[in-house]
Amino acid sequence: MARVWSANSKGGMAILLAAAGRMSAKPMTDAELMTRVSARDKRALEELYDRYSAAALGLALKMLGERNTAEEIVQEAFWRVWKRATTFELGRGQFTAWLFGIVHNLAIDEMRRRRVRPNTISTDAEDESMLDVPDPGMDVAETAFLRVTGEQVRRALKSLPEAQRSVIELAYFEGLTHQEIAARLNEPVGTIHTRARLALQKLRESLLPLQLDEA
Amino acid sequence: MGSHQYFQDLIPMDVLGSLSAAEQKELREHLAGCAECRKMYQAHQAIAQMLPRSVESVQPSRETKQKLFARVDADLAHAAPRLQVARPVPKETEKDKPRRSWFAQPVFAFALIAVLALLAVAFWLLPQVTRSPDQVAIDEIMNHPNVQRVALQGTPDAPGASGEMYMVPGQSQAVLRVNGLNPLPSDKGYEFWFFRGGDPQPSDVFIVNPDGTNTVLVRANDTVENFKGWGVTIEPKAGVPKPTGPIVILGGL
Repeated sequence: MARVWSANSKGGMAILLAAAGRMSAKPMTDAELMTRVSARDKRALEELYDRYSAAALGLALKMLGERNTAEEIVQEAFWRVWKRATTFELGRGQFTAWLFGIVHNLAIDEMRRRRVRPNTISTDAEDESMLDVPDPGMDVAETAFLRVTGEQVRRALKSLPEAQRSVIELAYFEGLTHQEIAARLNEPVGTIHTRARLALQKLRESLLPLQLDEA
Repeated sequence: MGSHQYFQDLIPMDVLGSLSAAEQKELREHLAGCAECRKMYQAHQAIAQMLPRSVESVQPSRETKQKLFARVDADLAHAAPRLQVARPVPKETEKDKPRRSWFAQPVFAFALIAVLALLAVAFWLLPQVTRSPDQVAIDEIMNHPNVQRVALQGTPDAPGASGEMYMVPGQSQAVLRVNGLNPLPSDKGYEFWFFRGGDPQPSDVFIVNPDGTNTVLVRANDTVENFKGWGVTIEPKAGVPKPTGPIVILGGL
């Protein structure tokens, strides 16, 4: 199939240069950038880093309360994005959900290590734990959540009854296991499960109507 | 094994990150066979995934970015010819992993090493027997100590596409690796172009796999260091002497 010609084709060059000129402004989506990261495009990773590293550090800092370790976790999380890009499946979730899942797991690992707990969850395989569950397909409600803002989530959390909000805080942001939460609050584990379930349901009820109204 | 209600109680705790590794594993096994629980999991997970948005952003230090990209650069420099990223070995926790005391037996260890060595020899020999001339050339370029890598970008006509060129100065052929290209009708192909000054030089025509990828050998009429740009267009399958179709990948221009 090899043909080695020396044809003169300035017209073709003009087409190609014009195309190069059009390669400018529209920002790429996270999915498009991840495709490029899978092809080991460093600039695509840099774009994702610039977009989301501040949010990632905010989460890590809230969980750990200490800047240096939080920054290391952000670095490690994006490193894992780079190394595991080929395992990220575009149809099974948003990039941000995957990224923040990695950050969350790393932070929990660190917190449990500090508390000298052996049951860490952030093994190398667990970074993909959010994608392990077979996806029955996003319905309209799930896609509507994509437009939820940080302020809306904060307000929804504040609107939870104190008992339910505590469980969310202790589980998600402080990385306690359900047994540890039960011990901390001096409640049965079953009560903690119920409060967690009700909290998530109430958050869903608070946030979903906002987005469907805007849709 | 717990009851159905037991697993439904675990689901909110799992999406919040509050289960042990053993409990997670148990839940995953249940979810694999229970559509109702998978649907519940999906609903709770969608909410939990929004919790990070409630936190204020904090700009990382410049040093964090520098450290990250120093690692990336080292990885790129080290692994240019790599075709597959090795999965890291999962960390084991003492409490949850099954006992593997039989690995400690020396006889088993020696037998395992012998089997692995035989497999390694077989894997090394087999490709050399079955490879095409193009594949031999691709492997030589990818494994050459002086190989250079250039990233190529998709154009507005193919925003999801990308590519990489691997070249060894002094040679008149190079390796092109593409991603994100759409499979074409049977009368079309992707044609590669080398650019010298203002002139595109036609090279090989190729098609892509169903997943939009391919790795091909592309040939020039001169040594590769004399070309400063590269591109891919959609053309008739027999190829054309100058570009006529949409440009899908460009680099170096």
